[in-house]
Amino acid sequence: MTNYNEFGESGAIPRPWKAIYFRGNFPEYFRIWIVNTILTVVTLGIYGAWAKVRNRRYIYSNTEFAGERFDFIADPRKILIGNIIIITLALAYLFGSHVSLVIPGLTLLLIGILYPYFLWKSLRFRVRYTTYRNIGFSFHGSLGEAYLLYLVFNLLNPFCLGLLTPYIHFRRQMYFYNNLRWGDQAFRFHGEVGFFWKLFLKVILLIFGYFILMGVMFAGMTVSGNIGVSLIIFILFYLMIIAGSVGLATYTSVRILNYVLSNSQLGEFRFNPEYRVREYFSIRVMNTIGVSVSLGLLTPWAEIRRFRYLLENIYVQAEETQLEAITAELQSREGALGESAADIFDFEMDFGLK
Amino acid sequence: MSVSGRWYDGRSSTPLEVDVEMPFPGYLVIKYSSGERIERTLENARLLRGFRGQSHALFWESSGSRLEFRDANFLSMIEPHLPGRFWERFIEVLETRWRYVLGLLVVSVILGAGFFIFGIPWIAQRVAQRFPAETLQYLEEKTFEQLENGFMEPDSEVTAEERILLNELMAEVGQSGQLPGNIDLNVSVWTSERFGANAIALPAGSIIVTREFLELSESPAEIQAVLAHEVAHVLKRHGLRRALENLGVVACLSLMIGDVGTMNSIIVAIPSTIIQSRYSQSMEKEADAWAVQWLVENNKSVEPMKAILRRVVNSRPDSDSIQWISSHPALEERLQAIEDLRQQE
Repeated sequence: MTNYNEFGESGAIPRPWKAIYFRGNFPEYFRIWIVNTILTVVTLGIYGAWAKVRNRRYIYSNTEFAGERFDFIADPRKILIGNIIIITLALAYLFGSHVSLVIPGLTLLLIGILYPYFLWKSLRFRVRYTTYRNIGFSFHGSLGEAYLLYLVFNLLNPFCLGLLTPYIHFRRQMYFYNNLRWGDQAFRFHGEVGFFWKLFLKVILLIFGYFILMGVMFAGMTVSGNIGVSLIIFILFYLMIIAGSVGLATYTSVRILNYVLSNSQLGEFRFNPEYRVREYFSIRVMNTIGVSVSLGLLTPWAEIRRFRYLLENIYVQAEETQLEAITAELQSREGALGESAADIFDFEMDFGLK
Repeated sequence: MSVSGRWYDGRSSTPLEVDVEMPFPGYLVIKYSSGERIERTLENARLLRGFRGQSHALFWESSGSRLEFRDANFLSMIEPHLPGRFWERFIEVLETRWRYVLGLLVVSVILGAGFFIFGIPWIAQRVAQRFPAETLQYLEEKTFEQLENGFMEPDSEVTAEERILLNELMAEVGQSGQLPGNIDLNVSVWTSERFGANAIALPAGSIIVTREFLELSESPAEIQAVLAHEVAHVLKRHGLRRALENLGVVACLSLMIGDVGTMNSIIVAIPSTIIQSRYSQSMEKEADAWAVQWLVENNKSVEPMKAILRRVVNSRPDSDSIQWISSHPALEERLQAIEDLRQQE
C-alpha cells in the first residue's frame, strides 16, 4: 500500500481538490416527483418502477463533477419484476392467514432468509446502472459475505448483548467500499475498527445522558395535574423524542461518513468530506417537520436539500487527465449482460448515506 | 442535416467531439473529427431524454456506447424511430407545465382526503363484516383479559332483581327482529374506578355496564336506551372495524411520510390519533342512530336517552377535554342529532 504524507499526497505533485455541484432544484423536482407519485397511485403501483428510475435519474443527472454529469440508466422493467415479487410476498404475509395459518409465518421466515440476497442483488443493480463519463460502477462483494453481515451477525448480536454492533458496522463499510469499482479503478477503505468502538461508546453515553435529561424534565412538570400542562408535556416529549432520534442518527451517520470517506480512495483519487453534525442535523429536522406537516408533499424538497448537502460538502482530489484515462471494465460488462436478467431488485439501502 | 455531439465509445471515459447525421430513417452516421465513421441503427438504441436544460443521450446497451446531443430538432427527427416515445412525451408534458401539475395535485389531495374520510371506513366495514364469528369470540376473550388486568372487576354485589331487570331490558332489544342469529347478547355488571359511569360493548355480544352507571340512571328506560346503543356497536362490529381502521390509517400515513426514515411510527402518531377519533365519533353517531330508530319503532320516547347521556357525560371529570381528539362527539351536538333523528323516524 502507498504511504501518504500529512497532505494525503502519494507523490510530489499536489493535485487540486475538486467540488461536486448539485444542479437540481425544488420546483423542477417537485413537478417530476408529483407526476410520478400520482401515476404510481393511479396504476396501483405498477408505474412505481418507472417513477423510481426517473426520480433517481433527475438527482444523478444533476450531479456534476469536473464538468460532467452522472447518470442512472437502469431499465425500469427489471425493477418492475422485483417489485412484483416483493408485493407478492407482502400479500402472502398479510392475507395468507385466510388460506392457512402457517402461511404468514412461513412468508416472514422466507423474507428473513431472502433479505441479504435482495440487499446484495439491489446493491449490484443500483451500482451497475450508475454511470459517470459513461463508465459504470460495479460491486463485487460475495453473496456469502452478505449473508454473514446481514443475517448471521444480526442473529448473533442479541446473544452478545449488542456488543457486536461496532464490529458489524465496520465490516459492512468494508464490504461496501472494498468491493466497489468505477471502471477499472477500485475503491479502497483503510480504516480501523477502533473508530467504530469509540463511536459506539460515545453514542451509549449520549443516549444515557438524554434519558436522564428527559426524566428530570418530566419529573419537574408532572407536579401540576391539569390537562393543559399534560398536553404541553405530551407535545414536548413528542418533539424531544423526534429531535433525539434524528440527532442520534445524524451524529452517527455524519461521523461514520466523514471517517470512512476520508480513509478511502478510488484508484488514485482521494476524498475530503466536510460534513458537520450541526448542519446536517438542522437540515434533517427541518426535513422531518416539513414532510410530516405536509403529509409527504414536501418529500422532494427534503430530498433535494439532503442531496445538495451531501454532494456539495465533499471534495475529490483528481485531475482532468486522470479522469479521462479510465476504461470500462470489459470483463464485468460481458458478465453483466449474462446476468442482467437476474438483476431485478432495487431497494433503497442505508450505507451510512442517509 | 448534421448536428454536433459527444461520443463515448463504451470503453473509455474520454468523450470525442463528433458530427451526427441520419442519412436515411432509423440509421445514424457518427463522424469523428479524424474522418473516421461509425454507423448505428436506432431500433436497438435507448433514448435517455435530458431534463430541462440538459443534453439528451442515445445509449446502445450491447456496446455500452453513448451519444450526447443538445439539438431539439435532431431529437424530434429521430424520435419517431425510437420505441416508447408516446408515454415519455406525455409524461414530459405533464412534468413541465405547472398548471397540469397543480391540477394533478388538487385531484390527488381530494382523492387522498376522500380515501381517509370515506375509503378507509368503507373498506374496514366491508372487511369487518366478512370476518368469521370465531374472530369476534377471540377478540372478546382478549378484551376481557385486558379489562380484568387492572381496569375493572365483576361487581360482586349485583342483586338478583338487577340481573333479571337487565336481562329483560336486553332481551327486548334483542328481540327486535333485526339481529342475526349468531350473536349471543348478554349483559353483566362490573365496577371500575377508571371508567366511571359507562357501558362497553365487546365484539361477540357481551355488554358490560358499570355499577357507577346503574347508580347514575334514574329509570329502566334510560338503561335500555344505552343498551340499545351498545347493541348497535355489536351489530355493526364496531370493535373490529375500529381495529381495522386504525391499522389502515397507520399503514397509509407511514407510506406517505415514510421517506423520513426510522421516525415514522412516532411522527405518524399525532395525525393518526386525530383521524382515528373522527372515525370513532362517526361510529358513535351510527350507534345513536340505531338506538333512536329502535326506540321509535318500539313506541318509546327518546327523552330518557337524552337524559342519561347528559348525566353520564357531565359525571366525567375530563368533560372539558379537547374535542378533536375525543372518541365521542360533543354532548350538545349529539343530543341535537338524536332529536333530528327522532323527527325523521
